[in-house]
Amino acid sequence: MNVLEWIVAPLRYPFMVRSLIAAVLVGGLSAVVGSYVVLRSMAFLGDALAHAVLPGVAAGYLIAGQGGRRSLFWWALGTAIAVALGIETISQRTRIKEDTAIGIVFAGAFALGIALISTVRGFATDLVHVLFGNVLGVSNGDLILIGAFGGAVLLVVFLLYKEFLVVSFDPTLAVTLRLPTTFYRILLLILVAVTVVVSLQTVGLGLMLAMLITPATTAYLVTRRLPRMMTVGALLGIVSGIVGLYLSFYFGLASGAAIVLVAITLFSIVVILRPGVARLRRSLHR
Amino acid sequence: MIHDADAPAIAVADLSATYDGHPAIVEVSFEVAAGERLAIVGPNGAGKSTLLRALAGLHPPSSGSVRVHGHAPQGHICIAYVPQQSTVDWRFPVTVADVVSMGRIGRVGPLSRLRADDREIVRRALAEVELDGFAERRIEALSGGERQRMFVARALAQESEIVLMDEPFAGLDVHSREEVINVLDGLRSHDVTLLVALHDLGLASAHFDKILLLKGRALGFGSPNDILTEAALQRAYGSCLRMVRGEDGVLVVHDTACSGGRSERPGGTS
Repeated sequence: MNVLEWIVAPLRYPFMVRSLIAAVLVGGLSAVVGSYVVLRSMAFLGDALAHAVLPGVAAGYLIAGQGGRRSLFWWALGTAIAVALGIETISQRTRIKEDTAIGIVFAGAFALGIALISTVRGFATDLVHVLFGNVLGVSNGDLILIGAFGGAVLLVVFLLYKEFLVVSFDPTLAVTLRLPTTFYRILLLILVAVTVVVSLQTVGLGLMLAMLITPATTAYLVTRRLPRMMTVGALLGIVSGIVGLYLSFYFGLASGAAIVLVAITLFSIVVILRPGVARLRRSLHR
Repeated sequence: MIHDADAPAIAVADLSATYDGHPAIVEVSFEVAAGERLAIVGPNGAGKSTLLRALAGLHPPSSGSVRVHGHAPQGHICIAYVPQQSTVDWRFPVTVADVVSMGRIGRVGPLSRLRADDREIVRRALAEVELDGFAERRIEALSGGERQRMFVARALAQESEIVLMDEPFAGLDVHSREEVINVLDGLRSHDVTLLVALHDLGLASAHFDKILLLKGRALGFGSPNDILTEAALQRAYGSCLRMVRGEDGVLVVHDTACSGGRSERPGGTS
């Protein structure tokens, strides 16, 4: 099998085409939003949001049953936004630090999710997909949801770029400039929550954090400005998605795990090569 | 917001504020006229940072009032606040021009991009603090003095009438300190009212019109000659400080032979 055939063969399967589109959308979106997650040290929050959607999904499953797969998305979305607002409220209105508030809400929500799942009789396939991801099972309807919500998130990030930049880099300046900082902070949390939910089917909640922070962190290491970090991160996320899916197709690996392993490999390559490249660049400039 | 022409740039009356539940400043009162330069000095924990944050509208007072050009500080975007360097994330992926451009955001408004005239204002602000060659440099590559000058440039880009700086000379070597002082002296041509919290009493006496000696309460407010007396410093710092007056200010030294002193030592060169 030559290289071209190796690349084209999976595209003969409609499910693989849909999966690749989903992986590209999710890889790009996660890295753009993930840039703020990395820079604002919100990694724990991102992980918590991913895990905290479990009770919402489980409740949706119990209410809608096996046939109500589409409604799980809305249950997950509602839960993620509610949890994000809950964490913000606890950390702002009490003396509890944000990471502690996240830990309490996240663990509590996850426990509730497991308790609800334990009441389901038999094997709940849809719930397993939420846990571990199932990008190969993405439908056209799923793609529309990912595209619509992902596009809306990217549009907000683009339109409010300078506001999010100030609120993230220098919240004190944002206050002295009389910007509505609380509004922007909550909006950013909601954008992270939406990103987590639209990405769940690709990598699952267990590995969602990796998609949010790994490509963005790799990009951080090789760029100087936030827009470039977002762009390079998105490209790395997309490459991770595509290469991971091919590895999954040819070697029978779990798709979500394969995507994340590619992202981690790219990160490792940059970490290992970066000092040498920096030295080479300095010596060339002398 | 339209300024009250007859009101001082800053009027503080019986201002008290708490920090972490404890009183940080107690019934502090003073006024600063437009274009004046005030040094806020006092030992660590005297409430200097809390006072600056209250003036900027960042820290709610527990009692008393702050008026900026006759109005509450929350209504103004003419106040630029430069925090202590230790509170800034210097690894954030932004360039010097990015940071200075942030000063324009309050003028540009939401959902809008910076226009050509905004970028020109940013370019002029960078030139004013002699950072024109640093625009595309990442901020973590700047020295301590360059970082302070960048924030002054941001205040200029913000078209601030009042600049509040929290310990801008902390950790700077002599050369960098001189560069920052020159930049702050240059603010006089913009008629900027400058309030700086600092430890160096020599700098305070040489480069500022007035000094507020703070230790929770205001122990003194007035011209450097009136405020910087050994008796006043003894009350503020508790240690035996000796003052040597020169043409350019005062040199404050810690008298280790003096009994009853404490280890708190303000900086002291001029």
